[in-house]
Amino acid sequence: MNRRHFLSSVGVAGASVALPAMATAAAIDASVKKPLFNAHPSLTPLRGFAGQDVSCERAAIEGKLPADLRGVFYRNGPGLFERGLGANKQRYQHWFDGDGLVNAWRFTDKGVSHQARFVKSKKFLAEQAADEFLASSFGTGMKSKMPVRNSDDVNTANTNVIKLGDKLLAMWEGGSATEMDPATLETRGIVAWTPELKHMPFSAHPKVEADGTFWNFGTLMGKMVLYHISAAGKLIKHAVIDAPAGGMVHDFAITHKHLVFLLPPIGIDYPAMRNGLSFGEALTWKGNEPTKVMVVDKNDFSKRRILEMPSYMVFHFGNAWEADNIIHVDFVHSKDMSGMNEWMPKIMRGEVSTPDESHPAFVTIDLNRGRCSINLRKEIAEFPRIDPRFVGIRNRYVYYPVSTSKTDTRFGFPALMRLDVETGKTDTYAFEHKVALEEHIMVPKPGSTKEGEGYLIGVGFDIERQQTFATVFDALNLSAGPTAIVRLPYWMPMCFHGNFHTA
Amino acid sequence: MKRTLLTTCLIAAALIISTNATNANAADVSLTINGVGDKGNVMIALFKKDDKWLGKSTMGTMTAAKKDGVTVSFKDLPEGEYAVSLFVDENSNGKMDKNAIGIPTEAYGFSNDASGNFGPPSFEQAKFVVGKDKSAITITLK
Repeated sequence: MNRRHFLSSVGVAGASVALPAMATAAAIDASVKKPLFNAHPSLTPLRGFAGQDVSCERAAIEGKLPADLRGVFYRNGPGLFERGLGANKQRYQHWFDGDGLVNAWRFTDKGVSHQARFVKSKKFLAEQAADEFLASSFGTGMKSKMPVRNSDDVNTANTNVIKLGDKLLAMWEGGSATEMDPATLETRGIVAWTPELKHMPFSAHPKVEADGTFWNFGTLMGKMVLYHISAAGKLIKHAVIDAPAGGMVHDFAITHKHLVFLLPPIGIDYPAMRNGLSFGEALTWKGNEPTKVMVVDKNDFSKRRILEMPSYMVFHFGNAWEADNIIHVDFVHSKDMSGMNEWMPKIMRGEVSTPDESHPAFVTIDLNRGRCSINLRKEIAEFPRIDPRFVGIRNRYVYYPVSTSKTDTRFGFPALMRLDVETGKTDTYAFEHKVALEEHIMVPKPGSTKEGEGYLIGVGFDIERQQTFATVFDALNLSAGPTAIVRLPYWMPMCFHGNFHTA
Repeated sequence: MKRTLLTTCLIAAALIISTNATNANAADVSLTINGVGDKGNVMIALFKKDDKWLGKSTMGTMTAAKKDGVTVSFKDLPEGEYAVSLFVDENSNGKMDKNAIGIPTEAYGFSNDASGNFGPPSFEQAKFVVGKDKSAITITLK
């Protein structure tokens, strides 16, 4: 890290922390007879919070914030993993289980403030009142102590957050989006686009075109629901189609003409679920079956093509574009589900271990010949993002957090990479301090039109300081190091995804 | 005419006997349902053990939803095992609304506050026994 850039500026001035998270976690731990979580210091954020909201009026800034980076960086992730005390203490077994904790980093002329509030979902409120978990979550099975009539009864709204019109949507994937107040982060309630779409799944990975046109999907029990929503947040059209979707579909991509799905061969063991396993534990990997490629016409959701490829797992997409009936889609590839169903439960127990490898991948879907091909890169990466002005059209750059070593057992990514998909060249920056980086997103510079011109911003956990920070990079020159680091006086549970909305 | 009269008497006698017989082994059940909101009607179906569970019910009733909950009574139920299924018809369209993949979008519940796992609970999970004495059961929708 170039220290010239990090003349400490304001220090930890004006920090108003509702409840010191470290102290809370330690206090809970002291009363545990059987330790449920022996954390490696890199895993501290996986302790989670006890349901408290936190805020900091002015974060410490090292370096210089760009004068034209003004707006709110919303992020969301699972923030509460434990309830109860002593012998009654419960801890979730899976990272995906925790209740959604929405963060707002506000970049203004006065500096950067931070606020985080739990999504006050039906589940969160009921469990907060009972001081115990009341129903099975994604990866932890338990006997229900409350009625679960539809998936929104256990909706944690913990995966992503985006502004649509005047609404802030906290998104899960098994149920509805949850509307929040963008200014206060107060929860307003679940979103029902129409009566027949009430309690329907709405993925955490909507795709938004440069003009704001918003596309999303949801899968449940062999069906897929598709959504086409205007920039103002008005439902334009929707359809429920039969889809070879298997047990779990996390993300998708769009071109200017199509919705593009890569559907891994994941089954659901329903008898195991009836016997008490959670949904996540009942997912089965059917590696001898194909990963299916489904391409749906954006203008007519009933028109679709399905092709097959040898099996692989995918969570996240960067982008897709097409020309001459050939679709190019980039995503992050894993060989199977072991990252989700083996590595994640380990880190939730506080054990560090090498995660399964996930690599930048590129699939070409030739609709003329009905053939698909795949190319993988060697880097270990996740959470791809692109310049938001290029969603669905030909892009040149993809940004990823990356590992610097194949055998790195530390939790989280220590480096960032910009990949030029045309030349194959990379622009990388590795933090010398021990950090765990989350997804980083590209924010275009106001007034520019050139791809990549802008800032790459994201959040990380400083393992030595045990504090959370945000980064600001020149998105065309990552290797120069961050132009600013914004430090909080506390640590936050890690987030999965988020979006920046310019003021 | 004579014959008609006789028949009528026999039927009446039979009714009296059967009513007496029922009374000897029957009881009233008071059903209180909380958490129904204040929109529309609470639609309640009572099933006997021999009925097709969640098919055609032995008895049904409806009452306007009230914020503080509603109470209905089933009179003179013969001894035996019963279960209740109900939903709140919030928009008063006479049916339980469902979303595009068939999941109910109006509140529903069962006796014993039974809940199913990927489907409704079984009769066994929702059943209660009616004996000789008056009884009261409560269902709470959340």
